[in-house]
Amino acid sequence: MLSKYLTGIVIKKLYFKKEIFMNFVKKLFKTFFVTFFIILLGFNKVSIAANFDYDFLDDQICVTKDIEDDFDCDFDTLFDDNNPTIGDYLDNQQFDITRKTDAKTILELLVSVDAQKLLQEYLFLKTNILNKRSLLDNPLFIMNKRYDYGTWVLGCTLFFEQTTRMHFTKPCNCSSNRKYKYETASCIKTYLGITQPSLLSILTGIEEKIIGDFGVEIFSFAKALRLFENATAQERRAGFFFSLMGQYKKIDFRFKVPFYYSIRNFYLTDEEQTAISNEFGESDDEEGLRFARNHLISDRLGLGDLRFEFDFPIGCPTTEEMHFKAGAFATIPTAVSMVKGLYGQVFCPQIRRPKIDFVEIFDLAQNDNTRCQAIEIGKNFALNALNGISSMLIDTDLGNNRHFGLGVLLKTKTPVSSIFNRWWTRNLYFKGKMTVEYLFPAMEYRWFVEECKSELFEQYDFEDVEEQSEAQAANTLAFLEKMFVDMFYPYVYKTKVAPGFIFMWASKLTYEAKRWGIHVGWDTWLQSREVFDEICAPSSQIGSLDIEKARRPWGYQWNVFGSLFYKKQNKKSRLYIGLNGEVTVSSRGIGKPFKLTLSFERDF
Amino acid sequence: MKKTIVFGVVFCLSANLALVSAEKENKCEKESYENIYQNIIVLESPMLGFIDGKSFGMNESTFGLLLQVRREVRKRLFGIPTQSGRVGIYTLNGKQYCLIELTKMESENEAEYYSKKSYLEKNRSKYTPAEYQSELAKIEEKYQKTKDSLAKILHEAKEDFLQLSAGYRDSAKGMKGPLLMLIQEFCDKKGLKDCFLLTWGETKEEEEDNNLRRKVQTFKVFTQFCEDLAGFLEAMARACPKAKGMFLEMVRSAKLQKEAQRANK
Repeated sequence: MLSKYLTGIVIKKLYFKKEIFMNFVKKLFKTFFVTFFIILLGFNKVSIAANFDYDFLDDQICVTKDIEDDFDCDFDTLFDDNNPTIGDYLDNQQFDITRKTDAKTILELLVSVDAQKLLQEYLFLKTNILNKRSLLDNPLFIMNKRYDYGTWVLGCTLFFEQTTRMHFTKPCNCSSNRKYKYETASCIKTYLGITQPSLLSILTGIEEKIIGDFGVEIFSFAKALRLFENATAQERRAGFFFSLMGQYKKIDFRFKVPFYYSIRNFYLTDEEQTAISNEFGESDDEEGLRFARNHLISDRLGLGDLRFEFDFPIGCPTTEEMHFKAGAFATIPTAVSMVKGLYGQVFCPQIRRPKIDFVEIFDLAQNDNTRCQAIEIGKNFALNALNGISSMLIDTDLGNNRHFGLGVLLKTKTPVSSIFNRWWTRNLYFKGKMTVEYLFPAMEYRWFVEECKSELFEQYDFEDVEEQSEAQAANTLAFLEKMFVDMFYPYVYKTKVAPGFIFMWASKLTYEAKRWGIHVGWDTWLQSREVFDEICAPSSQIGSLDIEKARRPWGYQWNVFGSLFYKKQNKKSRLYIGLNGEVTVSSRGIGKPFKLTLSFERDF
Repeated sequence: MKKTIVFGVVFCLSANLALVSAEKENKCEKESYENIYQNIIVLESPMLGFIDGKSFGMNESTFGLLLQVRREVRKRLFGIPTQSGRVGIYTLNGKQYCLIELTKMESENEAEYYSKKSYLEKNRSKYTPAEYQSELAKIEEKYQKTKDSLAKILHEAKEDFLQLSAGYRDSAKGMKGPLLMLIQEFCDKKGLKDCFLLTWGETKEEEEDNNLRRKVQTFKVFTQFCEDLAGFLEAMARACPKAKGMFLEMVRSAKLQKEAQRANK
């Protein structure tokens, strides 16, 4: 029901639509093929069946006219039907121009449209996965009310969290405006180089070349890419957060584990969708939804990581009214997805890299019967590339990516009356919790691109392609094919990732009366930048991988939260029913979620 | 006697002049068709400039093929050039005709039919109804006979053209857009506003054959289409000087090879 609610209402219209994407792909391919059909303007497989007997012209081969004259002849002479040499040649020659597209031909073609310049550009400005904050670190799930009824407290919190615009990277340096810098980090243009001036300049140059040289109006790549520049990723999490707290002598211990549904999707605003529809045409909602569910939405349901923590009072005074506690905790990677792809899909890292054969594609594209196959190859390539991006950005597990964590914590409780001793401060307390956790390294998938592309290109000659031998051309074309794949498919390698430290500090002011209470506070969360201890890549390639692009940026959030709760007591237990909310005011490298929870805690 | 001699001389001269004049007229008409492209048209689309001389574009083979198609079309238009003149490839009543001649025959048949019919109508009073009907039937029979013969040849000519151009059209599938652009440029430069070549360019690929069969019902239209096509191919070839050079080089190589073979023999 919850899932239905989420998917039916919240997710409605929050994805790219299939028609839009397919129109984009279609236009892309249409442009591609129109361009190259023009270039490959050929009268394939044409050989004029000689229906008539032209043998009598054989005698004319012994021409009186000097043949050399013909070879310098102008067009008029060439078109003269009575030119015996040319006429005889045309009558007896079968022009077999079946285009067995060879590597050199394709290379010439690609170089003629400056494809080598385009391939030197980076589509991926970053290849990191997105930062996320564990639910276990959230202040709304800290159990620190006044539980003075029994020994045990069992809690179950129903929660919903939404990050409307996740940050792909750290704030960009594109503007001096601080707010703009931070907001831009949530746009996909900071992750994919679709608005990089150099890329757009090359694309525009290619367009101008095609339009100028062929006089054909084509689909504008640069304009189309700009329509997607502000696309972002969204995340929603909803479910139950279970907690159990006990006391043994003076030691408090707690177990916490969430069971929830997580869904991420790509998102464009209505205005952006309208702009895209205007460019590519309206889409069919049903088809669009199906496409989005297959390629742009990832979801899973299951158990999160388990946290065990304990603390005990240290120093003095150690009263119920005022204390200072220290403790430790461990995060055990128990996260398991029970159901994957409930509404969307699960996107696996594409370890096996695709291969593309330009010669094969061009051969297929030239033949009317096989043209569909060429288009199919192109579509599959594009869709798999999109799935690859989805696996990097929107496919995430329910825990901490299998990292075991150990941390220490400090808890404080200070009555406000100790500072301002007034009647109204009697039930007011300052409560604080500070944790530092170290996440141990574990193997994860990470995505990499190779740096210094231009140096690789310098090893090949793109100036005198016509002078190259067939073998050289094939070699150069193979290089371009590899670079083409590299452009859209980053390398995926198992990597030993050390996420580093997570610091959290929550502080709140609480008022707790006999029947009800209220909390208002803030919290700061900080996660260090990850480090790669080991990359399972070929040793020859490791040096060329751009590791900086693959590392997650450090993340920071500053939230304010509030809580209103009601206490109901019977003979056996006391029930706390709370309504809680949290809003992120400031963040870096992660996004600004908001959270609503309804908590039930039973003290018995 | 003198009068008879003078009359005879004058008659002979007149007859001779008339024959020469008719021959000249016939020759001029043919020449006028052959020189129809005196105003040379060269396509200036940058696309052709780009593909000219490229191995993947207009190379020696594609250029040769273009010339070959043009030549074949012109053979159908004007006949096959021989040492004794041009010989048409279509046979009618045991004689060889080219499209130009058949077009002329078609228009003459039409003109004769309407002329005779008109004459008969004007002089209807001179005939009894039975005689009138008989004369009219004769005129119509002759007209229809010639028309049927021409229609049969036209059908053969169209099928021959479809066969001739099948490969060419196959290769053009999927690139109607660019070709239409070139055809449009050609038509603009030639001042053609409503020609079948343009219609062909706009026709869906799968409907091309039936469209030609259905819409081309007279030699006049078919001939015009062939003329335009030949002209278009020529205009396209003229826009490819590099390919021309490559083609001539190919011809030279073939020639030298052939000479070498002959020398070896």
